[in-house]
Amino acid sequence: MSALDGLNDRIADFDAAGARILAVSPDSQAENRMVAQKLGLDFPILSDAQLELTQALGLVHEGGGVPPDFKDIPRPAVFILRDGTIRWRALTDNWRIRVRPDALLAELRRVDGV
Amino acid sequence: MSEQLGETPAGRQHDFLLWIAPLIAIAGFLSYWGYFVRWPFLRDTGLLNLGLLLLALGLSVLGLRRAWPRGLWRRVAGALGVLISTLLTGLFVAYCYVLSYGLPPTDGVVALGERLPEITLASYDGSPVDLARASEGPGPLVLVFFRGFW
Repeated sequence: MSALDGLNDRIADFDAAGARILAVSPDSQAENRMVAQKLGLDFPILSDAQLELTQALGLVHEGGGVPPDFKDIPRPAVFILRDGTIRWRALTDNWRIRVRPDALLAELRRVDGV
Repeated sequence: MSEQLGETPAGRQHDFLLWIAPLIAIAGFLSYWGYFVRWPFLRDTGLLNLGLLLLALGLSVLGLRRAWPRGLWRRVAGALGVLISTLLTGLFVAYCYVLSYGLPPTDGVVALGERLPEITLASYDGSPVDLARASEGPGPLVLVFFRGFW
């Protein structure tokens, strides 16, 4: 959750870079609404409850959910897309460690420079 | 003699170690998720919480050593403090530096240069978002996957 929080704190910088942020979670619309309101998010959270997109991009972490359910969830991942194609991706090897907004903004500038 | 020491100022100071150590251990464990995850450096490294837990461990050992000659109940309290501090330090180390590396291999993940599938997902206000179209621009799109609320 703190990952979304961190992005939202820098939303003005993402706006300035002309970038749009979309978050994807395995939760329902109602749960996403609760999170978005709690954090006061300025970008959408899409509900991928069937893991349709998560599966299509090869991001399923089988049994990665919390006990006792151990549901399948997406692994933490961040992509930058430009003109329809994936230009950059960050797949952490430790789920506690996420891309920092500064690093993401630097990549956005780099992608746009190409 | 040993019972009397408990009532002297020095004895009370020793008793202080018996409860402050497990308290620091519990605070050091819980405050990682409850508070310090907000700072990327502390979240990524866990160093501050590890430091608190090791401090608690050290204090609890000191507490047990000082409690030892001062009666059975103080020994039990000291041992309990060491147990709690050790347990929480072990759990924290296991979670942060072992368990959280438990992600699947990245071989199957979509590669650079590929496009998003024609999938439409709903945002929390019900509005549909066509992923392939969203990735066409005008500007760059940042797509963030996260585990959801738990």
